[in-house]
Amino acid sequence: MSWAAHQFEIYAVQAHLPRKMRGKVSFVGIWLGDFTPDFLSKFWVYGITIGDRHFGSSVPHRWHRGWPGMGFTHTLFTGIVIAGLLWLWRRNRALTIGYLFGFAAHALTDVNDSVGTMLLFPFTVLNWTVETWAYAATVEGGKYLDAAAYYSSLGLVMDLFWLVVVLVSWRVLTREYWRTHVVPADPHVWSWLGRFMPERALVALYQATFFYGVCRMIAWSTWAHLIERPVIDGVARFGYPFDLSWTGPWWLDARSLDHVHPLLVPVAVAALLALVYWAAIRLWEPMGRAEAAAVAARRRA
Amino acid sequence: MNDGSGKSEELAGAVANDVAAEVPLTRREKVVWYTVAAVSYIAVSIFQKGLLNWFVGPLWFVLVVWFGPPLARSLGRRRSAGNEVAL
Repeated sequence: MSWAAHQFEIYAVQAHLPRKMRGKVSFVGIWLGDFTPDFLSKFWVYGITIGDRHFGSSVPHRWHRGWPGMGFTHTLFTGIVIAGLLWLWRRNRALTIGYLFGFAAHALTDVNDSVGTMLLFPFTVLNWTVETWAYAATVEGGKYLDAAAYYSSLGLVMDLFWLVVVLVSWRVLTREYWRTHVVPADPHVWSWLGRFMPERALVALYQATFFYGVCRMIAWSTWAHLIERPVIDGVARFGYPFDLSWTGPWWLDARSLDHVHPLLVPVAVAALLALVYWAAIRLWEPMGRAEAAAVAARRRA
Repeated sequence: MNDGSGKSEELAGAVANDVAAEVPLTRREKVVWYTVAAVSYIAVSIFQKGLLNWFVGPLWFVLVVWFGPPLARSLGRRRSAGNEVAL
């Protein structure tokens, strides 16, 4: 799984919208879309332990990404279905397209760990993974071992990559950008929040997910490499060892499910990403007309 | 502390106004408060990892940036008012 990368990628999506959608796609939608897959599935991955009893999945990686399990929450199919339902409910183009982009970003970036996602669900339940780093959520290790493995592997590089992508587009984090691109796409949400909060708090709220991503990356990395004293293969160590090799770290068995050949995955991801953007661009104007008609009908009523 | 002169009420009112209305932060104030939020959150959450979640993290940041500046200003006013009384 990806950690802070999911917090950064929403700003990257926001900063790299197709030209005609700039200032018109809902950031709240992107945030919700990116957040949904893990919100629906992750609570049971680590589970909770009360006394001696653990409540949670017995095979976390299958639950999280597989079938049977909640792996369908990390598929484009589910993203399209929920976006479709959102459209039928709200007739809000900005929210629907934003949600679809956010959801797609999450499902496509999660192909990097050793479990991957079922990209072509429901046509096939094979997972798609490039095995860049080890999926490490286990019943025994829980969240801590998962974090230690991620921030000792190419997962850390993934987080840093997305951080750089956002920092290169740093204007996306500014108050000016928020005023000119984010608020106009979600005027009702921000004006409602503005009844309770001053502008600096609203801007902070917009930036808060980025802030959380940076802090969580630093905090988990610091803990894993400077604070923790793990014993690995009987050897006491000062922090978890870094291993930036493919499917690292070496000190943990990478979890896996039946999957397609990893070389197929970059091609499929690029094709699906292009397909999502192409479909959104093609649907943009018709959805705009349908939204305008729905608004007019509501006014008449 | 209420000193009976009505100053505390005035300060409380000023804080409430600062929180409710926009008080533009200077670039320096912004850097300070964003840094305070990040350093404090990281320092605390390294040892209390339960705080490292998507709800507490963003909330921490928003609360520090929202309430930090008016609280600091009110403390500054209180201090300068105290100095005036002492003089």
